[in-house]
Amino acid sequence: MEYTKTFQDLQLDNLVSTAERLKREGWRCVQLFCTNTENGVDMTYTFANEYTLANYQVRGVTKDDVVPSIQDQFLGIFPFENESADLFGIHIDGMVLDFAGQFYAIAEKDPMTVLTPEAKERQEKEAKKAAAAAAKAAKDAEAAKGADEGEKSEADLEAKLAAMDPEKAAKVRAAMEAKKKKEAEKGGDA
Amino acid sequence: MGSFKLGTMTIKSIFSKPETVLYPVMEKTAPDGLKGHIANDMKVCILCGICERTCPAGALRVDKAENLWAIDSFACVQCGACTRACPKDCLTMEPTYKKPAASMGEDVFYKPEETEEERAAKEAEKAAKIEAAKKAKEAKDAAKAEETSD
Amino acid sequence: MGQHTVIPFGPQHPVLPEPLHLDLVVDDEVVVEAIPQIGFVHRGLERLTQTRDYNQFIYIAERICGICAFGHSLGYAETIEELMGVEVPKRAEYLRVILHELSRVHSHLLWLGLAADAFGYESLFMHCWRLRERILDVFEATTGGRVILSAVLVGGMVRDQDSSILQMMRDTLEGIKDEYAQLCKAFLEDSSVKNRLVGVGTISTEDALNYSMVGPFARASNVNNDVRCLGRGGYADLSDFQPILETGGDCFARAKVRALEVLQSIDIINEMIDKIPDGPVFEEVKGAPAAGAQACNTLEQPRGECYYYALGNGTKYLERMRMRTPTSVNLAGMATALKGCDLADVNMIVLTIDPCISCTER
Repeated sequence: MEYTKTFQDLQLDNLVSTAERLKREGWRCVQLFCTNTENGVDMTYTFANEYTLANYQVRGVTKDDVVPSIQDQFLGIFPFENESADLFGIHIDGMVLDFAGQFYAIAEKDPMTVLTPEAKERQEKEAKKAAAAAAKAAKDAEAAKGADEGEKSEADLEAKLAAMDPEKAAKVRAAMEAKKKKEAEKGGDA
Repeated sequence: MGSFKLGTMTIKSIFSKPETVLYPVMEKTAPDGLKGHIANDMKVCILCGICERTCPAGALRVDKAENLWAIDSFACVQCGACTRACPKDCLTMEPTYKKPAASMGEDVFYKPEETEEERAAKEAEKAAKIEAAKKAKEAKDAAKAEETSD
Repeated sequence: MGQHTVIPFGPQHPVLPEPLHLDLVVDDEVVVEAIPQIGFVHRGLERLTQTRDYNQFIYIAERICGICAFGHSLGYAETIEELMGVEVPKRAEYLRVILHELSRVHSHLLWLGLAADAFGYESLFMHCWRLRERILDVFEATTGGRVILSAVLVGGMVRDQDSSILQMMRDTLEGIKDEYAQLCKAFLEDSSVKNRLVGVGTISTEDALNYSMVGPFARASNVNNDVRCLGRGGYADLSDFQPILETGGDCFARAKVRALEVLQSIDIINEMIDKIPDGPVFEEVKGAPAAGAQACNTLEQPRGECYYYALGNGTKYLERMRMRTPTSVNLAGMATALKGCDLADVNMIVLTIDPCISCTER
């Protein structure tokens, strides 16, 4: 049998019923972890049977939400539930082994929900970069328009030259050639 | 009834050579690939600072203005990431451990000043490069002129 | 029925190499309940993804644990490779398996020594660690480090090993096999060992399943969750892989599983050295993980199944890195095993789950 890994979203209300079903079907609990996002904390529960690793993701859990504990089904999850409560400030209800925020000795409350200055700076930089990229794209579009216009002006010039008397036109052409050559030389040196 | 199953081994070890060496007097021979410490060939180094950005421990400091390359051996984790990132291959992992130090701090290395000859050689190299570029350009121009005259 | 007393056990205790605290509720000499507590060495390594890019983080990943250092860097690299869709050269996969199995040999020898020390068999302890030293010498010659190897990169291996080094590896293992057989005999047949281990801290198969136990701890209770069976990476090419299972569920069964796994690992290494293909060992990885891309991975460490998860955010820095180490899920099983044991056996039972507390807290 092929080994598969799945990711699926789960509603918070269905958490306990899913855990009960998985327990009945003989799955084992692998772990639980949280990810800090802009709209709250994403909790990922992982269960495994022989050939499947199933990740159930509960999205956007806020500090006001009450997450039911599944320790009565899978006692092995107790370090992770306590960890989530300590590091992410998640309110987990009905834990069998509840350390009440004393699981890890930490100096700061909910440390994993606080961004480091470096990460914050990087996020701002990314946002700026994205904005700059958008601005550049807009500019490029404009420039493309401008290039069209440039070509147009050259064509106009040709038409004008054709209309001029031949001697004058030859002079203008020579001057333009010289200018172009000079520019090319400059470019080559640089 | 099994007791003292380790007897043969224990008695054998009374007569065999000891497994350990008498350390400060004798030392184990280090294998070639041992990750001992980082060394930098300052003559080749161009102080580009790539190693400083690659170092996961932040043990390196490169200052182009002051012409220096510094390593904090107490922060270095001997991963060798800098030796792989170096564009000039001047960083190497030497198979010898550093001697214990009495105080913590950086080891600072300065890039040696160029001698007159080296500078002259560099200038000459630069001039030759420019000359070659000019020649190539002339040849190109000539070809172009020929094309246009055709 | 006597009065219940609570005895604090640890975090500083002669038998524990790492800080684990147990509140032992005892009735005379019998433990009624044990409540584990960790949290003395939490280092916040997962958070360091915010300040280290995915290539630099590999050196942090291997510092999660001093004993399964190679395994952690391997599991991390495999997860990032899956996240970014990188194919690793075949030769690198084989070398990874060889080094991973070697680190299993070294880890189990270390554990066997610690266990011998815990039940007071000093000379057995010394001999275990003497043999382990040979493995560390192999590491030193192949990767340049003894414990922290820094041998894996995202996309392959740091160094290729030529045939003379592989031959040296095989010779070393062949050399210790004989002596190891004598150690095994002492471990599995000596009456003084059996007196301390047989029937102590028994865990039934149902309990092992219920508490989601992993690794040799579960395999001693006849629960097979050896991830190597799934045959990924270099393990796919093994001709035959049968996990070592025991039915006893007691301390002796756990010691036996580990003792036999060393021999199994030596066989795996020999087969891998025979089959190793030629080719490159490193494929340059370019770019960064896409925003919102996620990957998970499991790996059989010496202590059991380890879970890795990575979430990208479009930059070189990972949004989230998760490592779940085997000891953290085994804690519940350990608390169960302690129920009803003698106070004098507590240290033996705690040791037989091979706890790695620093791993657990990261």
